Amino acid sequence: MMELVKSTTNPSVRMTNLSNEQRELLPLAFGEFLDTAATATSRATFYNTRAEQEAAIESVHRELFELDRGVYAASLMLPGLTDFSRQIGAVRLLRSTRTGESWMTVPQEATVLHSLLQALPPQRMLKMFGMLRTQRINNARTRRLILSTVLGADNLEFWAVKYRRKLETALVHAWGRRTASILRAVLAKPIDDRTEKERQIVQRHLGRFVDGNVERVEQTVRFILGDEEGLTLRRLAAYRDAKNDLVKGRCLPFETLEGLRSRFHSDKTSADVLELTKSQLTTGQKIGMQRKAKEVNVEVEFDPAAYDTVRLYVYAYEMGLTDEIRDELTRKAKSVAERLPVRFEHAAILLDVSASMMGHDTQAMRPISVALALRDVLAETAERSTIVTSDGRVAPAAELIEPVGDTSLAVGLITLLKREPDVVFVLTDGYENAPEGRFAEVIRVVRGMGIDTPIHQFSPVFAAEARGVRSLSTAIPGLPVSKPEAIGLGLLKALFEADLDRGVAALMSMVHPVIDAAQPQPAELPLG
Amino acid sequence: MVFRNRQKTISVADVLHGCAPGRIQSVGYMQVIPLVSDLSDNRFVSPIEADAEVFTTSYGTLGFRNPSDCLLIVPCHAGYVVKQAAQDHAMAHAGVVQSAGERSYNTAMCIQQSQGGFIQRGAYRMLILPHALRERALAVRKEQSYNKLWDAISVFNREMGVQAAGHLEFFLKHFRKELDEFVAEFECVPRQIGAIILVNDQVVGVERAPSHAYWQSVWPSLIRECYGSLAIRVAQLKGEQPEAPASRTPVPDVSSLDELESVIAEIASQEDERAKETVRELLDEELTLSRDDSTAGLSIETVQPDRFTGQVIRDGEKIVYASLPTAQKWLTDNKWQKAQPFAI
Repeated sequence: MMELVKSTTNPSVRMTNLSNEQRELLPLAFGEFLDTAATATSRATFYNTRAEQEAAIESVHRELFELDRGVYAASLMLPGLTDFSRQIGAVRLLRSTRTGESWMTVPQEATVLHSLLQALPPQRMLKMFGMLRTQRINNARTRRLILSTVLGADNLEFWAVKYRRKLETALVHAWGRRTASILRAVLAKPIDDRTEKERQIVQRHLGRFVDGNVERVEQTVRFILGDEEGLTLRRLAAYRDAKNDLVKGRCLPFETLEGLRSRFHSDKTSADVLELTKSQLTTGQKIGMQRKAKEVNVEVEFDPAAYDTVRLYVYAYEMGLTDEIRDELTRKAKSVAERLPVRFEHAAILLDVSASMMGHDTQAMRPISVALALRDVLAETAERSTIVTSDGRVAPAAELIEPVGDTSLAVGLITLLKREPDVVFVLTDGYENAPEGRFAEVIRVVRGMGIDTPIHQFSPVFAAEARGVRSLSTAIPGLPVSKPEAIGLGLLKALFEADLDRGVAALMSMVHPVIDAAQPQPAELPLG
Repeated sequence: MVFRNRQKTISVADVLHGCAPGRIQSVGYMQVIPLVSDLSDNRFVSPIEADAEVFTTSYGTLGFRNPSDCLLIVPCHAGYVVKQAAQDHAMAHAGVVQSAGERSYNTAMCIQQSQGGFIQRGAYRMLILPHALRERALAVRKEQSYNKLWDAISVFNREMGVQAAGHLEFFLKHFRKELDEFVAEFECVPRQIGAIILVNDQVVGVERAPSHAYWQSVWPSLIRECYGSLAIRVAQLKGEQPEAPASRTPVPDVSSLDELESVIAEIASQEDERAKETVRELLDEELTLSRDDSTAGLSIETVQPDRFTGQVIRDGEKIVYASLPTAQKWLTDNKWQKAQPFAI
């Protein structure tokens, strides 16, 4: 097997705490965890019900966690994991008390938890707090994490108008109903009118978690808890006033004002709200609303730099590929490739462009978009790349290609192997039909010839599919990828299977910068 | 509506007029020979293309509102399994609905025995009845009886290993994953307007649509419930790991990539020729048609069961739609029928 990892010279962990049996199980558990964690969402999909999804996810998280808490925590930091995986990983770490020795220290794990939360979009972070409430996890670590994250947030005022109910749930969970009720009553009083005891209550439950302006946070918390009296902060006042005059809500997020419109201003239209709030749209909304904006003749600014490459490709399929988007795709591909632990001289890429790569209606054009984004990244990992499609069309980097027709990958593989690349990447959903099994036959024959060029199959997936990725050949197991950043996961998984210690070293090299931040002097431990 | 019993005989070649076989697709026990054509009649739309409103107004009456400015052809044995508290229904035959028109068929069938309620107007995912039910459905197409397919569904469910009852959704739910996979496994190719479907090396159906767009919209329903159900049954009987179809040639060991490339090309050419041979063998098969209905110049005709059953929709002499599942008896007797005639 060729060298896949650029450098393993700075290992930070020796897996001496594992028995031989555990050393055998860890690569399997790690592989299954990555397969699931890179794709898991909480939604039902075309192939899996929500219950099946959750059972599959729970199982793989538990197995890795029970084998090695440190590897589990470090794995949650890997680029390419879904937010949902990070959410349930953080919940698991908070739920379980540390027992026994672990190579990851308590402060390091706290840093991991804090970083996981910081990496989540606010709505998902709040959803995670909701999970903590549902699972009745309310230990001191959890309470501290919720309060410091919420009360210390720079944009708490913005969150308050957008996620008021969820924030209320999180704060009441952290404080308890009684304390929350007391705080609401105390915060309603002007600061000078509060007794010493009330000041201490505010300081203990709120003030000590706030870095900046405590008065702003107090007013925002009051709003979150349902008190709209005497609001002076711009967004909070706008929320209150927009109930009577929609125009006064122009500084509110689109969906917040849209909610107020539907409740208090049935004579106004959604287009009116879009016009009022177009400067407030999030990057996600801007790309999602291009079509709607066009329909109602509202110009919404769109900055390709703010989106990941998969979303840009999905967008380009719908709205067209501009030079601006093309440049951004190229820039992002280079950036992702630079962070991967691999480098090649000549990479060959076989791209499945058959009709099934269009994907199901619910995620139209996502499989092909993931494949194209991967193509661009993989091409950037090499000095030279050769790209061939399943139907012989030309598919240069940062260009669209329409998925059509049946799937025949065997001929493309032979074409690529004749160019003598270092490595072949096959980007496919694994549904070969012209005919099924021909690719595997060709692999068998070329291996029989003595050609041992590494061949990797990457498959775009969007769910923690219970039955895993469909492999074209048993000789090259398919690796699931949901976004280009996750391609390193596939390579890491292959390394874990080949050599556990080097795999762990590569894992640590990818997450070290964050974990080390908790340590004044990083511990240097040799690999066995 | 005018019903005239008039018989006419055509051949499968007539059904395939203007088509050419595409590259065969093969996965597991199922194979599909795409039928490609430059003939694409865009005067007709499917319920999916038209975003047609579907509804039931009484048990056994299934209605369609066609909001488009094209004629709506309701595929033979189109069915709707809905999430509402409403009785799932299916057509017992094909239908035609005028542009911007509405039509109800009181010959439709309930496919969900112990569920009450009517399907509210709306666009729903369409299915085509499983292959094993289609011949029976066609036989009772003129009866006005909402429960006329329950027994057949119950027998079908029992054979498939799910609860024996007149609930098609039991089968659909149990085999959801397997059925879903067929949709991804068999892909539409450019200019495709039809297909010849084989399961376990036997032709089990011939399908033709008026246009490529129509075909694209109905193909997932055909491959998923209609023919997919048959492939699942064959897998149950023969085992999950199929032998390679007779049309497949294994790739031999060779010593160079150039040699491998030419061997693969040669094998592909042989497989293509075998696919063509499969089509040739069908061409002279006669279909005796009897007219059931005539709407907007289109006649809906039913094939008298012989090798094939099913329905054909014609615009004058031009065949715009055909759905011809192979008859159950022919499938059962196929070994005898395909045996060589006696000769010394």
